[in-house]
Amino acid sequence: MLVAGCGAGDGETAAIRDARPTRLQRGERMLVEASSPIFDVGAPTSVLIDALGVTLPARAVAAGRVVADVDASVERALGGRHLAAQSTITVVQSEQRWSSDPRTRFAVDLFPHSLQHLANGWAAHLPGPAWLWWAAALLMAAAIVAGPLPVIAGLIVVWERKVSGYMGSRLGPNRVGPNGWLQWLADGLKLLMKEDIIPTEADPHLFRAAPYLAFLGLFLTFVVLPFSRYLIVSDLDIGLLFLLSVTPLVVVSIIMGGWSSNSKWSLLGGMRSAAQIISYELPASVALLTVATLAGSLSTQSIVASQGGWPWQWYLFHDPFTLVAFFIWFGSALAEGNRTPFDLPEAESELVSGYNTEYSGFRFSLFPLVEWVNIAVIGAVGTMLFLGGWRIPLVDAALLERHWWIDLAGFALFIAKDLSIVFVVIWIRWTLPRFRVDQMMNLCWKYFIPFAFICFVGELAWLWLVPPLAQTIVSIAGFAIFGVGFGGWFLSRVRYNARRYQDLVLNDALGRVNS
Amino acid sequence: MSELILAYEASGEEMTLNMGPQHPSTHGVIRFIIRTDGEVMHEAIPDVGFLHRAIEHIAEKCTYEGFMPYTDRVDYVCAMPANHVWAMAVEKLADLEVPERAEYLRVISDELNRISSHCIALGATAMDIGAITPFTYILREREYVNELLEMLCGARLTYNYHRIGGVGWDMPAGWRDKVLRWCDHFEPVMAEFDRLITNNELFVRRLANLAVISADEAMSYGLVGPNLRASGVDFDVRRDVPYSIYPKLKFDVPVGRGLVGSVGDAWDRYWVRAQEWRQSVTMIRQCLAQIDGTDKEFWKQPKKLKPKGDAMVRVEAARGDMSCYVVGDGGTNAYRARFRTGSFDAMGIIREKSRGLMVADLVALIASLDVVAPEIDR
Amino acid sequence: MRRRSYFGAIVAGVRTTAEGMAVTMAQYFRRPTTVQYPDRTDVAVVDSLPERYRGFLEVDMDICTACKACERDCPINVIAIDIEKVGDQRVMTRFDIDMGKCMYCGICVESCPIPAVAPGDLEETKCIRMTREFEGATSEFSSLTFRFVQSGDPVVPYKPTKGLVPPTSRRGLIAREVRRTAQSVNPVAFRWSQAQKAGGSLADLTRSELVQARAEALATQVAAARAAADEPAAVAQLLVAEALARTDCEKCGWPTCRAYADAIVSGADRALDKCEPGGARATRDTNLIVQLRRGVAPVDAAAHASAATLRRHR
Repeated sequence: MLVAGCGAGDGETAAIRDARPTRLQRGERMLVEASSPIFDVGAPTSVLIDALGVTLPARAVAAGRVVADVDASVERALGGRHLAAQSTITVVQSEQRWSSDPRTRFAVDLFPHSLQHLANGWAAHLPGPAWLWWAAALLMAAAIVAGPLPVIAGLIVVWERKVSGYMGSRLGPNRVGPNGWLQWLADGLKLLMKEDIIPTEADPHLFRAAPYLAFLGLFLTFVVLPFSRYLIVSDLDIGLLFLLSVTPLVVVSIIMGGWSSNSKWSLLGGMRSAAQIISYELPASVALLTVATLAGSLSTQSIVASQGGWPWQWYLFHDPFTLVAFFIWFGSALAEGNRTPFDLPEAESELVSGYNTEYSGFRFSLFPLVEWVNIAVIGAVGTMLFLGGWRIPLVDAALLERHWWIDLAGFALFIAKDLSIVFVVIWIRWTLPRFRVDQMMNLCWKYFIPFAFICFVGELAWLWLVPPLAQTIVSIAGFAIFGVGFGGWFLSRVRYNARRYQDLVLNDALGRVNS
Repeated sequence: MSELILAYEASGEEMTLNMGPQHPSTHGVIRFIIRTDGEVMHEAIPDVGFLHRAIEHIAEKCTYEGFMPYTDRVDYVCAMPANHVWAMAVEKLADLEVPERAEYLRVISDELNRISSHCIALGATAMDIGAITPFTYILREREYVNELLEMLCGARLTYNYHRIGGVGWDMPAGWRDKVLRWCDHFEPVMAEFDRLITNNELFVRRLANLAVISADEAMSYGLVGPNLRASGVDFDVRRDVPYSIYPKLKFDVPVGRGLVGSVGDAWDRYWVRAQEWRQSVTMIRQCLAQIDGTDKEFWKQPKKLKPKGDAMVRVEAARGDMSCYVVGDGGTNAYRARFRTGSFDAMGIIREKSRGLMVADLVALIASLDVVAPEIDR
Repeated sequence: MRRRSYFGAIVAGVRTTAEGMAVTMAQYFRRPTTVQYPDRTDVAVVDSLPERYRGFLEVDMDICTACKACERDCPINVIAIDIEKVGDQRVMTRFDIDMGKCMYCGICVESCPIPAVAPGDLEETKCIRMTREFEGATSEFSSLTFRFVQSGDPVVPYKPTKGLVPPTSRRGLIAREVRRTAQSVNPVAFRWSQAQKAGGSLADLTRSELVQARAEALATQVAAARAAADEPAAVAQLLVAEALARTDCEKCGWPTCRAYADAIVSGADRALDKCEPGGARATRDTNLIVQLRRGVAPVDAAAHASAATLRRHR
């Protein structure tokens, strides 16, 4: 956990040096550190959160340390609502009071509206055994998250096929359902009805288990994705860490699938995937660390909350290092998601179908399901880290509190940003060729990883050296140069290409078709 | 071949991959036995013959005229030059004259077909490298060529357009304008295709310095056409062994220059084809400008076709020098016919060039040599 | 040889990728080339094809001179023409084109000596010509054999007049018609021949679709026999030809097969299953003919015959 609120300004030393965690949740303990041994160990102690006027019971465990128990009083003080307050902290010991530096405040940030919190509430308040309610709440959360997964995957599949169709001068699916949008149902049903073939020479147990493991790894990421202020399964303190640790489960499944199929093509696909995903974990993690540094937290909600609604308040344009970090993360995410130009594990022109060559029917359908939901997850992670998540311009926490539909708008904004990243992912797939294995490794170890570390160190230096005003100016300039300038140049190229092309109809009789 | 696999497997040091004949990117039914150490190939051994249809034997059983539709099947991606070579061989054998208009129509159709064949070659290269949009993108342009040829001769793939002594049909009404309109349309498309894929850094990196074939190697392996020219050998049958009305046309012969790597690498082979597109378009324009001054006659149908003797002719097909040797013994059928095609020789060099490449490179190598299975096996 | 520096590669990669993405994005502003065959086109695709399109072959039998040039010149022998003499007249009793085997080269069209003018065409066509019809997807190969002379309806060859280019019908109409006939008639004929060839096993002989095909085929013959002047003799002849074994083995108790057939027709012998060398097949066909003669519908006759055969021979 990063140190927040180091109070050393103007040569005056504040008494309270640090308090952790900076986000409070019932049942947690808060550790307060003093800059010098001042506390009386054993004396009755309490910690006061000034902005809320809440006093927490505490005890001094050492001359420089106080531990406070966060109880329901914080929640009560908030009235069951959410508040992201910045507050100073005061430690009270009999007559004496020590305060933290008023200029550097601690974030007192409570998110009572996650699905996990709901489950906690049920377990505490409803009659009957608590574990039963816990289980029910968990199941409900799982259903809320897992239910739409096939739909998300299906719709993205249809969308991808439509995008690819238009980019290849075709139409894409347009027969099943309204304008083809139910094609995924037809395809899914077809896959469900197919025979589940397990090759004779395959390892039957691993072969059967692999697709589910991939599904599990993907499913778990949804725990920490902040779709809106309140729509999150559990706002873990170690959100980013959790994300980084569950996504590689997919690679285990791909290796399992590739190995157990007992086919050389599958094996090659599995091995490529292992090398690729493990390598690209590194630059992805370091790029995420850059953002975590900036936000001062690993919690996904905190990262979103610390960005603003306007584009120049996003971390994408925060400074040159985050901009580069974004591209490093995006490239690595493509690689981890096995998307072109990194689709080597299933390169159909080389490895037939790669690790899933031998799969059929429902088991096969899980792999594409994972792949396409994974794109949505990539989009969500990118939105949350770099594109301001659900933050709406001009809307502050208080306004968000008052109107539920603003939160809904935030959710819609999140989805819109998510989908634009998904579109870019699809777009890249239908533009770029594929890397070769050694080039893919080259890119990772010679380009991405050094640059990721440069970004991380540069970010620290930036925060340390550049004054806040200059930071804001650079953000706006970055947005102007990169967002507007590059975007404008790009659009002009699109326009140039669109104009240079003359539509040609040779077959006059069919000329009006599709018009 | 299966003994080969078992022998390699038994050594235990290598993995043997059986690629094809139903592999997605072997361009038809070709098979490769690949000895690999992980991703790095020790050797790829081509195994051909899956598409052998005894075309040359059929030539002995059909009349000279009746064999013409079979020549379409020698190389179905680029059937016109095969028509042309057969017609020219029989004409030389029987000492027949061809109307000038027919010669123009033959060249126009040859060049249109060369463009459509190169569309497939370039698009398929991009697709084998992993980019799918360029393929569908360029297939749209090929569709226009198909439509033009369909208007000319009624078929889209197996044209049977050339005849012994001429061509089957004159230009239909309005066709000339349509071809010119298409030429205007196609020129910016070629530039755009370069922006889309040819100059793409990723694509260049995949193909540059890959499987470099030196001029000596290319000649000793008998490579022909774009593959030969990419290695820096300035030889084009159309210019150096002139036939038909090619001497009357002005065109350049693009030769590999190693713009992004070394002369004779896979990207050069790709690039030479992309340049030939441009040359073909200029040739079509010249032909359409010159054809007006010719007689209306487009087919001098021979009355009796029972030639004796032998004849050997060569034309420049999309896959290079396609030659035909035909022996007549005074009957209505050829006594013997022999086709020499570019892809077969291109297959020969794959084993040599595959050493030390990666599995993914093999696919790029096959694509850059533009082999077509029916042309290998005939 | 071009070598890019470390940073040059980054710049080139980003620039060319952006260029490529601009091209793919520009595709959105173009009309897709897809033709939504077959249902979402303004005109039927058949009508949009160029005039020279080489689709199904058709023959205008009204102007065919039976010169057999097309049959002779076809490189793969897909055309079969039979010419017979009826009295003094040469007639074509068969003109079949196996479109399933045809390679659409058009050599037959070139060798045809009869030019013709079809409405709607800019160019002259021939008596045998290629049309723009191309939809030949089928589950039965037999329905791709186009028969331009229907059995029992021979065609008298056309005598060309010098200098006259005969008019002909719009190209494609004949092909469409012949294809429709081929689709409905050929499979029945094919199944009938299968029924005749079917092995001796009881299951084969009583397989409902085969029996039904046999019944349909026999129905026309029975109808012809019933219309004949000497109806009993004609039916008896049919019985001998189609049902009985024609061995004159006397196992049925009659001296010849014809005698047994006469007895069946006259009602002197009511047992229809006495032909031992003919076995189950004879029982089935005898039953079929007798039923059909009574005016029973082929479907019911088939059911009855199957039941009778099964009763006797199981």
